Amino acid sequence: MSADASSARVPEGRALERTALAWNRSALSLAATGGLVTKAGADQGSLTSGLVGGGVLLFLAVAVWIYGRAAYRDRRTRSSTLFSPRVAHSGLTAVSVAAGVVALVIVL
Amino acid sequence: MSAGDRSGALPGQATETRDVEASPGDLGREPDPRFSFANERTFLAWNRTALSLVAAGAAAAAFLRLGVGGARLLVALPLILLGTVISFASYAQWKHNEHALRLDQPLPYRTRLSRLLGWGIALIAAVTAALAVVDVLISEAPPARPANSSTPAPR
Repeated sequence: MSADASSARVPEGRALERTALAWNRSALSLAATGGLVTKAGADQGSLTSGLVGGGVLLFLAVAVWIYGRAAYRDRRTRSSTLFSPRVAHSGLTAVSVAAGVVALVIVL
Repeated sequence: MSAGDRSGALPGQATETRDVEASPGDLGREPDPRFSFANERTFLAWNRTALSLVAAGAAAAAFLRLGVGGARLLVALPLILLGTVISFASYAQWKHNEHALRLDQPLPYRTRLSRLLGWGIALIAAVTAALAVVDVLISEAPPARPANSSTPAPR
């Protein structure tokens, strides 16, 4: 398929790619936060809660990464996505708030 | 496409409602996907900012060593709380912008979210700087002598 035909099929191709990369970065940020929460837990003397909290955040980071990839693929082929943007965004917000709560619990 | 046209007016592209991009509501019409993606990226960027603040708070709790009692919490807690608030607010902003896009309304140039972040970081930075100065002053102060240490001990 030529580049012209491809861009005619997906006119928002580059914007879609940037959005997929933004989801990727969000997953990486979540993973980094998980690592720091684990370290903070270990330093605070609550290694178990740090490991559990950090492990949950790392798991959620993988879930966000998988969603970002799936959404990119589905939007590129114009098939329906797994979640609507509203559900996905509220889910990511809930994950970020959960990261904050886990960090608060470990710090306190 | 004109700068103000957000209605999916790519040449040769119909502006029909697509089920690929589910809307935050049933109002208005389906905007240009590129504007929706830009709005989504802005939300994701704010969300990463919120996560960075939470991570900074966790890092402060893990690595900050100050002589002032409770200083570690005084730095870590506001960072984590600010990150949590910004995470909530970023979702509200995304929804508001999506509605505005669908209704062809103007988007705010300067949002409350950026003001909140700016003032929050400035305040936390000021508190951290003050704590650092106090810590330096405490560590450089000569150790206090006991009241009767100047008199030699009797033989």
